[in-house]
Amino acid sequence: MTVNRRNFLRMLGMAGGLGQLSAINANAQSASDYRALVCIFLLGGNDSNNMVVPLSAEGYGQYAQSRGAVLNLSQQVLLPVTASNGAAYGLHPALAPLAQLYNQKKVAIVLNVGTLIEPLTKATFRSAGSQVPMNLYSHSDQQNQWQTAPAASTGRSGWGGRAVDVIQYLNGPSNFPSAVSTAGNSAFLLGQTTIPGTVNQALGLGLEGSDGSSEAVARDNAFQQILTFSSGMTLVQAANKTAADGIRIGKTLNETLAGISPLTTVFPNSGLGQQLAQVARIIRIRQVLGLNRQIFFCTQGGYDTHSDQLTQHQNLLTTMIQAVNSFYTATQELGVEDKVTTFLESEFNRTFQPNTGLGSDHAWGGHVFALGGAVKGDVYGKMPNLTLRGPDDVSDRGLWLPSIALDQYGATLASWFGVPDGSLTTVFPNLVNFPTRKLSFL
Amino acid sequence: MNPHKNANTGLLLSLTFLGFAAFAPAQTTPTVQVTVSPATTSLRPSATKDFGAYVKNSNNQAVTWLVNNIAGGNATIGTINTDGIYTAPAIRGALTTVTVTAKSVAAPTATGNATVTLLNPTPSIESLNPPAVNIGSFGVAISGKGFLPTSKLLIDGVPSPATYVSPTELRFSATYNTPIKVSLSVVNPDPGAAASYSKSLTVMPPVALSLSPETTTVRLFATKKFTASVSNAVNKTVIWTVNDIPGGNATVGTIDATGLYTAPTTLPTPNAITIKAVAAASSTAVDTAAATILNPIPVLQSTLPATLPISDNGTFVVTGTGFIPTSTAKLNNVAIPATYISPTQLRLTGPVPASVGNMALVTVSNPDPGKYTSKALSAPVAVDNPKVTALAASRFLEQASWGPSPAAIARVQQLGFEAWLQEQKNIPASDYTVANNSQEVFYLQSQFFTNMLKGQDQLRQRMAFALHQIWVVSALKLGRSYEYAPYLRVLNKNALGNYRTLMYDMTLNPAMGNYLDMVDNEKANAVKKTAPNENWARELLQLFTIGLVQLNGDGSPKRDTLGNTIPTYSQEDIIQFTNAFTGWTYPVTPGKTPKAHNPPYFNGNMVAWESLHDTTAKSLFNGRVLPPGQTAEQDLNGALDNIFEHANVAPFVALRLIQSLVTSNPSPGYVSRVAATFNGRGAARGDLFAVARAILLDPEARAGDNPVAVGLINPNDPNRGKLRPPVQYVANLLRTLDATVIVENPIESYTADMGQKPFYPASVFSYYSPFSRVPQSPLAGPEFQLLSSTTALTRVNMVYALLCHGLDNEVKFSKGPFLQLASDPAALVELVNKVLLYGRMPAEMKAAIATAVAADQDPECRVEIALYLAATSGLYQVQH
Repeated sequence: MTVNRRNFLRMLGMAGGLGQLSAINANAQSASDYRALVCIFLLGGNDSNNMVVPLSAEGYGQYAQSRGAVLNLSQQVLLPVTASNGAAYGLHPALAPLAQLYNQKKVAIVLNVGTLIEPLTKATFRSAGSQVPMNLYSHSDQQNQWQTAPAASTGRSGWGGRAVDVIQYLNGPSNFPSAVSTAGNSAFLLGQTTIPGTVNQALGLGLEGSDGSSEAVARDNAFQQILTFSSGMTLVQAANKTAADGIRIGKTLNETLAGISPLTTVFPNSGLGQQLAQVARIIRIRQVLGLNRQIFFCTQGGYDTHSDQLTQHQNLLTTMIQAVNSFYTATQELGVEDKVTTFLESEFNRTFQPNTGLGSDHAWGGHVFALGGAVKGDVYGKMPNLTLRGPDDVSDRGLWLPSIALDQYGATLASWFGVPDGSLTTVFPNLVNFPTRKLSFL
Repeated sequence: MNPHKNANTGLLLSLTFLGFAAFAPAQTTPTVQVTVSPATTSLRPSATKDFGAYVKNSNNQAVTWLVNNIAGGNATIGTINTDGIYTAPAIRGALTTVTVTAKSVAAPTATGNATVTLLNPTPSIESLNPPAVNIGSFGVAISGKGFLPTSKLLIDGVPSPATYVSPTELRFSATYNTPIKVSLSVVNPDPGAAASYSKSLTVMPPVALSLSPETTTVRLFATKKFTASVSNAVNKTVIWTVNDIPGGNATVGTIDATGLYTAPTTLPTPNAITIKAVAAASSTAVDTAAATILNPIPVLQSTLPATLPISDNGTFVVTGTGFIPTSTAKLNNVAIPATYISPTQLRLTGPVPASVGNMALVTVSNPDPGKYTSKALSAPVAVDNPKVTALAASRFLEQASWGPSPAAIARVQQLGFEAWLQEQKNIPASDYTVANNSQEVFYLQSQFFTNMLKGQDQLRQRMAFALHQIWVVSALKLGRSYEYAPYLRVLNKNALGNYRTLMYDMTLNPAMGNYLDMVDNEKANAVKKTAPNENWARELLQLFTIGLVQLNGDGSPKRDTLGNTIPTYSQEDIIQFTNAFTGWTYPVTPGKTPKAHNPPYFNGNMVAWESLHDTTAKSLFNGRVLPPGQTAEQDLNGALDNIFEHANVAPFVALRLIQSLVTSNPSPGYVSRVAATFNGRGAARGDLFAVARAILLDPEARAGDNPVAVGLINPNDPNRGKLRPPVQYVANLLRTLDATVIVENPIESYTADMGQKPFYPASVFSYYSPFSRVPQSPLAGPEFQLLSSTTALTRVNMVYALLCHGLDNEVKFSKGPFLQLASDPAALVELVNKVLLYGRMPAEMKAAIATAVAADQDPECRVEIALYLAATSGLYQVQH
């Protein structure tokens, strides 16, 4: 079984089940009833204050006043976009492709979204009887809440996973999970019944040394057999289950992707770019996999810009939008740009007031966007009053009280994905607290 | 008298008488006459003739016989017996005839005669000596019969001179210069001239001798058969010498008549000897063979005692064959001094270390000439009078160290848990070195792994890494070794020290200051409209000390009357603590002037710059207020004291360390006991050595040391254990297999593939969250956050890479003990079970592995398969 790593990878590349698939032209698949959601989670807390800036005289005045010299983006560099109501906004200068797509009406910018259990005002936020999300400003908790939209009934499941729980009947039988993360395990995709899978950024993985020899077959048989033995130990069983899933997913992916020519769309060589490239590959083989609904989770880290923010943020957004833009191009190449909606999440916005280290700290409500052919391009929601200690600031440093709940943003996406209205509160239990359950961007 | 003959004669005579009586006229008494028949005959020497005598005219036929008138004759003239049988003389002499006379007994005057002519004998050649000859002059003795001085020798029909020696031997000499085959015959003259049958004589080329093998090696004590081929000679006999000593001797070896050489027992000087063979047939037919005497092949049979006590200074005897005074020995491939006792015994004296599976491999080597290393003998080693079982020691070391190396298992068995912990407490930290300011943290990662494998400070290292996972600085932001190493030293220094000191050292560590923005964090600036950076205060509270929610002493969250958790701090608290921590900058680079914002420098503690420190009062926890006007140092210590006194710290730290070391799901009681130790039971508050000891010696940690023990704590709790995180998974395997690793090793890339790149956690939230759950289960499983359907396979493939190519050939371990058993799948699996699962492998798993092992014929592959299947199994991946 002594086979070196490189040889193994080569063997793996050749070992796929070509026969089963060679007749399939992936581009010719019907996309009649197909929808995919792609969540891009910006880890660390994206400073969306600088992603979408009001260009009204009043709005920009507030902006310039409180962002000080430290984090201020000048009007000249901001990329102007206009909402259907005529309001003018400036996008971060790194986001030129986004501005372009916005102008093609493919982008919905949603303002001041955040974790909420019920609608709050600055006054109710302070009052004892209100339900305020636990552990605001904590990365881990807010990441978790953005991914899970938690309530007492949801356990540890994520809202993406629960959405799949509801629409799973739309998918055919498949050896491949409907919910796939390119960024390791996530709370987002774990359903009450849905068990997500993970993929890495290349082909599926297999067991190294599986060279088809009788010796290797005997080894692999024993490996699989050992996975099935009952040890009576919960942790062992769980680890075995995950390994069995991994083998099945890797094998399915290898067999299905083998022999399919690469997309012509070129993805950037960034982590997010390669994650989205893999998502595009998997979308391409959706029909072979028997999946009419897919949901993906990708991440980009580094947004916790407590210091020296301006340069870092520029780089982060550039990397992000290049990957997202390539992905949109790939969905066009695959003819599914109307069937795939990509959307942003991040655990919180950052303090509007800079800190003394040329950065910003943890805050709350922030701006996000959704992108795709199905999206009704516009700006949704209300830009907060950017005054420190102003009507939307729950602190004195510019921590915006969200005006749109994550649940409303998510419900809009889940509804488009196929979750019936009657099931939206299964996916987002706290939605019952909100008079408006869905936004209109999809 | 021969009665029979007489009777016949009587009958004959009677018939004759009747005939005569019937037809002859009656007469008066006639004259008695004797007739001998035959009347003449010829005889060769020693030939016999039966004569008959007829006595006429007498009833008495009796006669006496004479030869040449001598009754009965004699040897010269021949003899005749009473029956008339004549025997010619063996040697004719000069006689040509003799007269045989029969004389009537009744009438002695009546005689009858017969004449016997005596002939020469007929010669015959029976053999030649030598039967064959070589060219040149030679003499041959002809053996045969009937030879006479007058015999003639014919060679190929040509009369040739020969010398009469005796009636049975003739000799002749001749000279031939070319090989030939001649025909010899001998001719006797008249009377009775006769020739022998011919006999051929081969005249061969000269005698030749060749010895094989021509060159050879012979090991001491061994024998070697030499074959001398003598050609052109009838006599194949050779005379053997060793170094010209006939038959050799004890010094140079002996050789017997068959050419069997027996090497001496000690090496002769020189060790090249000459074997010589000389043909007996010709002293000029000589050949030599060169033999090099080599040291013997050592063969090992057993050790005395059969199980070797593990010792720094052991002694034992290895028995076998082929030992010599210059034999050397190795134990597990490490030289061990050997004393020669006899060719069958060596005494080995030196460290007898623990080894993988505690099956030590002994080899003996003999030096040149003919240097040779024996096949390995595996001998069990064991700790004498162990304080704990190997299973218990191994489990303990999974929790207390980077894994149960054979040496560590033995040490724990020798000392017991408590003494081992005390010993660990005082072992200095394995340090990190930084060669220059451009080195990346990769070099620290490599040292991290080499320290794991080589460092004796195992408890400290394990605790330091557990604390690193709490007090996170990621090299994603501080990617140079010189930036990062001082942070690692803070962890090492305090790993078995006091938590309060750790808090202080970490708060002022420049890398931490950089990572979480406490460095150069100025008080609020009205002109710039900036506020102090909250990052440090927030993460210090949330992640390093008290967490988000108030805890009970057993680590569970406190709940309000509605069942909600209770926050530990508010945003306002964050601001207060933030203000307390303002005004610190990098240490002063040696030789530089202190400034408000010193340039980055990572050695030593950050220093205060008081004018940037917020000097307002700060309201902290439990009503504690830091008065206005304090220095940065005073505020810092006041704030740290306030945090350290928080009731959450003990259960917060206890739970995380228990999860890191022992189990993901400690019982509330376990957390309470460890938290109580943190809070000062039996040691100073915050004493991390005491905390580690409490964690490791807790009955809940030790349950499972004896799987069949009956007690309050179920050793077979189905929820026990923890998934080995990638770094620990690799470390445990490497230590268990007693591996060595090169200094600049690639291990980090493998653990990164598995989701844990050491020193590069994705964020201050570390590699994984203590709150992560086992999938589809309410159980805590922090490490399961890293176990995805992808990394489940990269973990397995890491094991493959480790076993099959040593992680890109940069990790080495011996498969030796396993290879010894490769031919026996069941025995191999049992050893793997002992080494990796400490004997806990279920029967069905053993059977599955043995089946896969048996499917491969290659011994190395068998070992790899057995280890692979065990090391990748869930039972191994979960420390339990």
